[in-house]
Amino acid sequence: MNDLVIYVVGSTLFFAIGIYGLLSKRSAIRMLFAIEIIINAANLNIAAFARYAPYDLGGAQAIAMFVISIAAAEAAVGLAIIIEAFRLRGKVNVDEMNEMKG
Amino acid sequence: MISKSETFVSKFQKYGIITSILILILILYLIFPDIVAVVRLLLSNPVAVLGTGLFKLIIFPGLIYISLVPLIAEWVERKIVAKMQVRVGPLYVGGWEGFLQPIADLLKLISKEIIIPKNADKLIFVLSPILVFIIGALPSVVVPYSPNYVIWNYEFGVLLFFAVLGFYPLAVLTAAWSSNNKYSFIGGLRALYQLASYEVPLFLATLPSVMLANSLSLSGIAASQSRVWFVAFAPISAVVFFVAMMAELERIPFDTPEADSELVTGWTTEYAGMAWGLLQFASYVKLTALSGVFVVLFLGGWQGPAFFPPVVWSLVKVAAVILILLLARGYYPRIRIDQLVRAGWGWLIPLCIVNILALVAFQPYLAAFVR
Amino acid sequence: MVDIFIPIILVALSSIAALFSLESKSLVYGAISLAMFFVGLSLFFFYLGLPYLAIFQLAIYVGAIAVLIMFTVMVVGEGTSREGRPRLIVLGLLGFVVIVSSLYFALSYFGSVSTTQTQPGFSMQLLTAALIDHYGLLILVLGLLLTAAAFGAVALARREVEES
Repeated sequence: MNDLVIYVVGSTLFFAIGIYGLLSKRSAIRMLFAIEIIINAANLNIAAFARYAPYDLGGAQAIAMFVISIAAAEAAVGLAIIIEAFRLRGKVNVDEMNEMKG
Repeated sequence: MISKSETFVSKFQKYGIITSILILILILYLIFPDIVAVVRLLLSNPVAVLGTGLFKLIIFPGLIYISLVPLIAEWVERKIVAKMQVRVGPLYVGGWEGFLQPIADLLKLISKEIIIPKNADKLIFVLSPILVFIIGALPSVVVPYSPNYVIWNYEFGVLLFFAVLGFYPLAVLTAAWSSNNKYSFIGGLRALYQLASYEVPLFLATLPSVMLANSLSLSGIAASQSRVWFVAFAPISAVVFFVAMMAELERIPFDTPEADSELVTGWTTEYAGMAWGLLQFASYVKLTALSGVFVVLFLGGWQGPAFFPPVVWSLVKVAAVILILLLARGYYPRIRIDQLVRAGWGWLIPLCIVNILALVAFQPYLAAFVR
Repeated sequence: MVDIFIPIILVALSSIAALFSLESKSLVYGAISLAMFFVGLSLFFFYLGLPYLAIFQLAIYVGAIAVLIMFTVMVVGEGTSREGRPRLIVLGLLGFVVIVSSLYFALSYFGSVSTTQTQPGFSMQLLTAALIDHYGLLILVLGLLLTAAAFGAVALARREVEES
């Protein structure tokens, strides 16, 4: 068994945990946690394959950095939406956000 | 209620001290398996010990140094601010000008009880000061005081320094939240606003030095200033860095998070005894580390005329920077939170970008002065 | 032997942190646990020999995103009424299938290919070359996107001043 398998399995495990959280939790904040976990899992996969595959190491790192930056933007906007929803409704359950009027 | 928290604290103190000593010994042994050899060297040739990694970790740029600087700085600060306000300051302890006052304060803080509020989140409340201290002390690891006296001469020292410093708001927020006190929480939120808006100019102000030295290691940046200090090429960035540094340290013109006329003492309100002492200690340790980095980035690090050894030049410069930081406390009033955030985003960041663009334009002409 | 143990321990600790961040009763504990998960990921990157990426992860994820999440959790509070749906078994099976199939795929495919880190060590030159030469335009787009996100977040979360 080689090292790469550990990273791939770990990344898949994180991905599965994230999917589980995203599907089973109804609180918007927990769902954001789950999304962050999924993004991190993908990033770990990119980094691990970059380290073992005979390709350009710089490109993979650049992509991973882009992913992290976009995740930061996504988190900022997502959290702003959550705060706004909390102001309007007093709770952040996604089940109850089913009407457009604010 | 008190007895319950008392038992928790005493248990935590009793087992915490034992476990932390054990962990410290384990870490020392893991990092330096040759600790026995160092002890043998100490017995045979004491001068040679000065260069070993263990000496650096424990004594000079390491633990003893960063614990001594706060003690001295506290006394100097109290004395100078007192003189500026036509008071006398500490006078009795130790005979001459009360120079042992910090040690008396330390003994007092250690002997005081750490009170945990009834509705506080006990675990986070106790762990937060420790986390704050670790985050404050960790950046010192990469700060060089001479080509030799640096604990970890890391290739990406600048990045690591500021990345670790970026954890600070997290620890402040947990400390503020777990106290379950409105003054703590308001102070914590203010600290978050302030730290978040001044981290960006702090990052940007380091860029000119990195660009000029063409290196991300702090030792490399200091080594390439042997001809001209970078403050000559990046004066605006140096000023911006200094201001942002003051804001990061929550020192007086920027001490809105612990404004004592509005919010008791801000996010440290509920902490008593040595827990509070640890928070203060962490802020002074952070001050030392940031002053060290300011000296390395802009004031030439250990460079200076050869009649003093490099370490002495470093220490003199760091002491001067700390002194100026302390002096500001006697001069300026506190600024409002909206002025503070506007100054951070509206003035400091554009100024940084102006300096970076100027450097990019003139870089071909500056290459002769670097190194 | 140590080479295999360290990533396995990291995987175990990080997945515990990730699970706890989703399952903890208090959201604040969950946020702290999530920050630990981010630190664990950066340790992975350090261990893989990609220090720049690891420090980037620390600065962005722990220094910015975790702080933002913590702030939101503290403002919003626990404010959730009911959590979870009774579909855990199906989801568990789904996750198990995903893991096992990926393991099978990984073992059967990569077990036969190169098993060691063949790359030369990390170098800043490679990364900067990739960033400037291949992804220069993307960096510009990314910068615009981040600016737009910042404006959007501020516009969303800004409390409207009521005139009275």
